[in-house]
Amino acid sequence: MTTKLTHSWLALLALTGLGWWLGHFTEGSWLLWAIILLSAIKGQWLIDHFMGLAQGPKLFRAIVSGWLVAILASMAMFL
Amino acid sequence: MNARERIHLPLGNVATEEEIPGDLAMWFFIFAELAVFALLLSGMAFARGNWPDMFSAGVATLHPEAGLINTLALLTGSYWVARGVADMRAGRLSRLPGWFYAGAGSGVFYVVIKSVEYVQLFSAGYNLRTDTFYFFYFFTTFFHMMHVVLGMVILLVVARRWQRGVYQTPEARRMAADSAASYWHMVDLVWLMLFPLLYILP
Repeated sequence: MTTKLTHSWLALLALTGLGWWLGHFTEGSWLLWAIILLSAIKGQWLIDHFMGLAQGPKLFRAIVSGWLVAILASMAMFL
Repeated sequence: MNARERIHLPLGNVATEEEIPGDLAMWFFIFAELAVFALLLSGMAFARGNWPDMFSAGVATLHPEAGLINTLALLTGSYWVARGVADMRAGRLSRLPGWFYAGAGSGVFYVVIKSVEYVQLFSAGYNLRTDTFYFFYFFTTFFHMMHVVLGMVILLVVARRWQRGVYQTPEARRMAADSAASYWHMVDLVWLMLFPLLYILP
Protein backbone atom coordinates (compact mmCIF):
# COMPACT_ATOMS: atom_id res chain seq x y z
CA MET A 1 0.00 0.00 0.00
CA THR A 2 2.69 2.51 1.00
CA THR A 3 4.89 1.45 -1.91
CA LYS A 4 2.01 2.07 -4.31
CA LEU A 5 1.45 5.49 -2.73
CA THR A 6 5.14 6.33 -3.02
CA HIS A 7 5.19 5.33 -6.68
CA SER A 8 2.07 7.44 -7.32
CA TRP A 9 3.64 10.42 -5.60
CA LEU A 10 6.89 10.11 -7.59
CA ALA A 11 4.89 9.74 -10.81
CA LEU A 12 2.87 12.87 -9.99
CA LEU A 13 6.08 14.85 -9.31
CA ALA A 14 7.61 13.61 -12.56
CA LEU A 15 4.51 14.47 -14.62
CA THR A 16 4.39 17.92 -13.00
CA GLY A 17 8.02 18.54 -13.89
CA LEU A 18 7.45 17.27 -17.44
CA GLY A 19 4.42 19.54 -17.94
CA TRP A 20 6.30 22.55 -16.62
CA TRP A 21 9.28 21.81 -18.88
CA LEU A 22 7.06 21.36 -21.94
CA GLY A 23 5.26 24.64 -21.23
CA HIS A 24 8.45 26.65 -20.90
CA PHE A 25 10.86 25.04 -23.33
CA THR A 26 8.75 23.81 -26.24
CA GLU A 27 6.22 25.28 -28.67
CA GLY A 28 3.50 24.01 -30.96
CA SER A 29 -0.22 23.57 -31.35
CA TRP A 30 0.10 20.16 -29.67
CA LEU A 31 1.26 21.77 -26.44
CA LEU A 32 -2.26 22.58 -25.18
CA TRP A 33 -3.36 18.98 -25.73
CA ALA A 34 -0.23 17.62 -24.07
CA ILE A 35 -0.78 19.81 -20.99
CA ILE A 36 -4.46 18.84 -20.84
CA LEU A 37 -3.56 15.15 -21.12
CA LEU A 38 -0.94 15.44 -18.38
CA SER A 39 -3.40 17.31 -16.15
CA ALA A 40 -6.04 14.62 -16.75
CA ILE A 41 -3.63 11.83 -15.81
CA LYS A 42 -2.44 13.66 -12.68
CA GLY A 43 -5.95 14.56 -11.58
CA GLN A 44 -7.32 11.04 -12.04
CA TRP A 45 -4.28 9.57 -10.33
CA LEU A 46 -4.87 11.79 -7.32
CA ILE A 47 -8.58 10.92 -7.27
CA ASP A 48 -7.93 7.18 -7.44
CA HIS A 49 -4.86 6.69 -5.29
CA PHE A 50 -4.72 9.59 -2.81
CA MET A 51 -8.45 10.26 -2.37
CA GLY A 52 -8.97 6.50 -2.43
CA LEU A 53 -11.99 6.68 -4.71
CA ALA A 54 -10.74 3.79 -6.85
CA GLN A 55 -12.04 1.57 -4.03
CA GLY A 56 -14.78 3.93 -2.90
CA PRO A 57 -18.37 4.41 -4.08
CA LYS A 58 -18.60 4.49 -7.86
CA LEU A 59 -20.96 7.47 -7.78
CA PHE A 60 -18.45 9.59 -5.84
CA ARG A 61 -15.66 8.67 -8.25
CA ALA A 62 -17.90 9.51 -11.21
CA ILE A 63 -18.78 12.93 -9.75
CA VAL A 64 -15.18 13.96 -9.01
CA SER A 65 -13.87 12.52 -12.29
CA GLY A 66 -16.72 14.27 -14.11
CA TRP A 67 -15.65 17.55 -12.50
CA LEU A 68 -12.11 16.94 -13.77
CA VAL A 69 -13.33 16.24 -17.31
CA ALA A 70 -15.57 19.35 -17.27
CA ILE A 71 -12.68 21.63 -16.25
CA LEU A 72 -10.32 20.18 -18.84
CA ALA A 73 -13.04 20.34 -21.51
CA SER A 74 -13.58 24.03 -20.78
CA MET A 75 -9.83 24.58 -21.22
CA ALA A 76 -9.87 22.71 -24.53
CA MET A 77 -12.96 24.59 -25.71
CA PHE A 78 -11.94 28.13 -24.78
CA LEU A 79 -8.16 28.12 -25.21
CA MET B 1 -21.84 -9.45 5.67
CA ASN B 2 -23.58 -6.12 5.24
CA ALA B 3 -21.99 -2.69 4.92
CA ARG B 4 -22.66 -1.85 8.56
CA GLU B 5 -20.78 -4.91 9.77
CA ARG B 6 -17.91 -4.10 7.45
CA ILE B 7 -17.51 -0.64 8.99
CA HIS B 8 -16.99 -2.23 12.41
CA LEU B 9 -14.19 -4.53 11.30
CA PRO B 10 -10.90 -3.90 13.10
CA LEU B 11 -8.51 -1.44 11.51
CA GLY B 12 -6.26 -2.92 8.90
CA ASN B 13 -9.01 -3.67 6.45
CA VAL B 14 -9.03 -1.59 3.30
CA ALA B 15 -12.09 0.43 2.37
CA THR B 16 -14.75 -1.49 0.50
CA GLU B 17 -16.85 -0.26 -2.41
CA GLU B 18 -19.73 0.66 -0.10
CA GLU B 19 -17.56 2.72 2.23
CA ILE B 20 -17.43 6.46 1.70
CA PRO B 21 -13.90 7.72 2.47
CA GLY B 22 -15.00 10.01 5.29
CA ASP B 23 -18.16 11.63 6.52
CA LEU B 24 -21.03 12.10 4.05
CA ALA B 25 -21.47 15.72 5.19
CA MET B 26 -17.82 16.42 4.38
CA TRP B 27 -18.37 15.01 0.91
CA PHE B 28 -21.38 17.26 0.31
CA PHE B 29 -19.12 20.15 1.35
CA ILE B 30 -16.41 18.94 -1.05
CA PHE B 31 -18.90 18.68 -3.94
CA ALA B 32 -20.15 22.21 -3.22
CA GLU B 33 -16.57 23.51 -3.20
CA LEU B 34 -15.81 21.74 -6.47
CA ALA B 35 -18.90 23.33 -8.06
CA VAL B 36 -17.73 26.82 -7.06
CA PHE B 37 -14.21 26.18 -8.33
CA ALA B 38 -15.65 24.79 -11.58
CA LEU B 39 -17.28 28.18 -12.23
CA LEU B 40 -14.08 30.06 -11.41
CA LEU B 41 -11.80 27.80 -13.45
CA SER B 42 -14.06 27.66 -16.52
CA GLY B 43 -14.57 31.42 -16.22
CA MET B 44 -10.82 31.89 -16.20
CA ALA B 45 -10.43 29.61 -19.24
CA PHE B 46 -13.18 31.57 -21.04
CA ALA B 47 -11.56 34.93 -20.22
CA ARG B 48 -8.16 33.66 -21.24
CA GLY B 49 -9.56 32.50 -24.58
CA ASN B 50 -11.24 35.86 -25.20
CA TRP B 51 -8.35 38.11 -24.09
CA PRO B 52 -5.24 36.07 -24.93
CA ASP B 53 -2.91 39.07 -25.14
CA MET B 54 -3.99 40.40 -21.74
CA PHE B 55 -3.53 36.98 -20.18
CA SER B 56 -0.16 36.40 -21.84
CA ALA B 57 1.07 39.74 -20.50
CA GLY B 58 -0.28 38.92 -17.05
CA VAL B 59 1.19 35.41 -16.95
CA ALA B 60 4.58 36.91 -17.88
CA THR B 61 4.57 38.87 -14.60
CA LEU B 62 4.15 35.69 -12.49
CA HIS B 63 6.99 33.50 -11.27
CA PRO B 64 6.72 30.08 -12.99
CA GLU B 65 9.22 28.58 -10.53
CA ALA B 66 6.96 29.59 -7.64
CA GLY B 67 4.04 27.80 -9.29
CA LEU B 68 6.14 24.68 -9.83
CA ILE B 69 7.48 24.65 -6.27
CA ASN B 70 4.00 25.14 -4.82
CA THR B 71 2.60 22.30 -6.94
CA LEU B 72 5.37 19.96 -5.77
CA ALA B 73 4.75 21.07 -2.17
CA LEU B 74 1.00 20.39 -2.32
CA LEU B 75 1.50 17.01 -4.04
CA THR B 76 4.02 16.06 -1.36
CA GLY B 77 1.58 17.20 1.33
CA SER B 78 -1.13 15.03 -0.22
CA TYR B 79 1.28 12.09 -0.24
CA TRP B 80 2.09 12.57 3.44
CA VAL B 81 -1.61 12.76 4.34
CA ALA B 82 -2.34 9.64 2.27
CA ARG B 83 0.49 7.86 4.12
CA GLY B 84 -1.17 8.77 7.40
CA VAL B 85 -4.47 7.24 6.25
CA ALA B 86 -2.64 4.13 4.96
CA ASP B 87 -0.92 3.73 8.33
CA MET B 88 -4.28 4.03 10.09
CA ARG B 89 -5.75 1.31 7.89
CA ALA B 90 -2.73 -0.89 8.61
CA GLY B 91 -3.28 -0.45 12.35
CA ARG B 92 -0.25 1.82 12.91
CA LEU B 93 -2.41 4.38 14.67
CA SER B 94 0.35 6.36 16.40
CA ARG B 95 1.88 7.39 13.07
CA LEU B 96 -1.09 9.29 11.69
CA PRO B 97 -0.60 12.59 13.59
CA GLY B 98 2.97 12.93 12.36
CA TRP B 99 1.90 12.54 8.74
CA PHE B 100 -0.95 15.00 9.18
CA TYR B 101 1.35 17.57 10.84
CA ALA B 102 3.75 17.15 7.90
CA GLY B 103 0.85 17.65 5.46
CA ALA B 104 -0.14 20.85 7.25
CA GLY B 105 3.52 21.91 7.08
CA SER B 106 3.42 21.63 3.30
CA GLY B 107 0.42 23.96 3.44
CA VAL B 108 2.42 26.51 5.45
CA PHE B 109 5.16 26.31 2.82
CA TYR B 110 2.58 26.91 0.08
CA VAL B 111 1.08 29.92 1.88
CA VAL B 112 4.50 31.51 2.41
CA ILE B 113 5.47 31.14 -1.27
CA LYS B 114 2.09 32.45 -2.41
CA SER B 115 2.27 35.40 -0.03
CA VAL B 116 5.71 36.37 -1.31
CA GLU B 117 4.29 36.26 -4.83
CA TYR B 118 1.38 38.51 -3.80
CA VAL B 119 3.68 41.03 -2.11
CA GLN B 120 5.90 41.26 -5.19
CA LEU B 121 2.91 41.79 -7.49
CA PHE B 122 1.34 44.39 -5.18
CA SER B 123 4.70 46.17 -4.94
CA ALA B 124 4.84 46.29 -8.75
CA GLY B 125 1.44 48.00 -8.76
CA TYR B 126 -0.82 45.09 -9.72
CA ASN B 127 -4.09 44.45 -7.90
CA LEU B 128 -7.61 43.06 -8.38
CA ARG B 129 -8.68 46.07 -10.42
CA THR B 130 -5.71 46.19 -12.80
CA ASP B 131 -7.44 44.09 -15.48
CA THR B 132 -9.41 40.88 -16.01
CA PHE B 133 -6.33 38.70 -15.73
CA TYR B 134 -5.32 40.06 -12.33
CA PHE B 135 -8.92 39.89 -11.13
CA PHE B 136 -9.02 36.18 -11.91
CA TYR B 137 -5.48 35.61 -10.64
CA PHE B 138 -5.87 37.32 -7.28
CA PHE B 139 -9.47 36.27 -6.62
CA THR B 140 -9.11 32.62 -7.60
CA THR B 141 -5.70 31.97 -6.05
CA PHE B 142 -6.59 33.81 -2.82
CA PHE B 143 -9.88 31.90 -2.61
CA HIS B 144 -7.91 28.69 -3.12
CA MET B 145 -5.33 29.72 -0.52
CA MET B 146 -8.11 30.19 2.03
CA HIS B 147 -9.08 26.56 1.34
CA VAL B 148 -5.47 25.51 1.89
CA VAL B 149 -5.58 27.29 5.27
CA LEU B 150 -8.87 25.60 6.16
CA GLY B 151 -7.41 22.24 5.12
CA MET B 152 -4.40 22.87 7.38
CA VAL B 153 -6.69 23.70 10.30
CA ILE B 154 -8.70 20.50 9.74
CA LEU B 155 -5.52 18.38 9.59
CA LEU B 156 -4.11 19.99 12.73
CA VAL B 157 -7.36 19.61 14.69
CA VAL B 158 -7.73 15.94 13.73
CA ALA B 159 -4.06 15.20 14.52
CA ARG B 160 -4.30 16.94 17.92
CA ARG B 161 -7.58 15.23 18.84
CA TRP B 162 -6.09 11.92 17.66
CA GLN B 163 -3.15 12.33 20.05
CA ARG B 164 -5.50 13.21 22.90
CA GLY B 165 -7.45 10.00 22.31
CA VAL B 166 -10.71 11.69 21.38
CA TYR B 167 -11.46 9.12 18.66
CA GLN B 168 -12.18 5.98 20.67
CA THR B 169 -13.70 3.63 18.09
CA PRO B 170 -12.29 2.42 14.76
CA GLU B 171 -15.25 4.00 12.98
CA ALA B 172 -14.65 7.39 14.62
CA ARG B 173 -10.97 7.23 13.71
CA ARG B 174 -11.71 6.25 10.12
CA MET B 175 -14.32 9.00 9.73
CA ALA B 176 -12.04 11.71 11.12
CA ALA B 177 -8.93 10.69 9.18
CA ASP B 178 -10.70 10.05 5.87
CA SER B 179 -12.75 13.26 6.06
CA ALA B 180 -9.69 15.43 6.75
CA ALA B 181 -7.66 13.67 4.06
CA SER B 182 -10.44 13.91 1.45
CA TYR B 183 -10.76 17.66 1.97
CA TRP B 184 -6.99 18.13 1.70
CA HIS B 185 -6.84 16.12 -1.52
CA MET B 186 -9.72 18.18 -2.96
CA VAL B 187 -7.68 21.35 -2.37
CA ASP B 188 -4.73 19.73 -4.13
CA LEU B 189 -6.92 18.63 -7.05
CA VAL B 190 -8.16 22.19 -7.60
CA TRP B 191 -4.58 23.48 -7.63
CA LEU B 192 -3.62 20.87 -10.25
CA MET B 193 -6.14 22.60 -12.56
CA LEU B 194 -5.10 26.15 -11.64
CA PHE B 195 -1.41 25.40 -12.19
CA PRO B 196 -1.52 24.91 -15.99
CA LEU B 197 -3.89 27.86 -16.49
CA LEU B 198 -1.57 30.26 -14.66
CA TYR B 199 1.94 28.87 -14.88
CA ILE B 200 2.32 26.48 -17.81
CA LEU B 201 0.19 27.34 -20.82
CA PRO B 202 1.86 30.08 -22.86
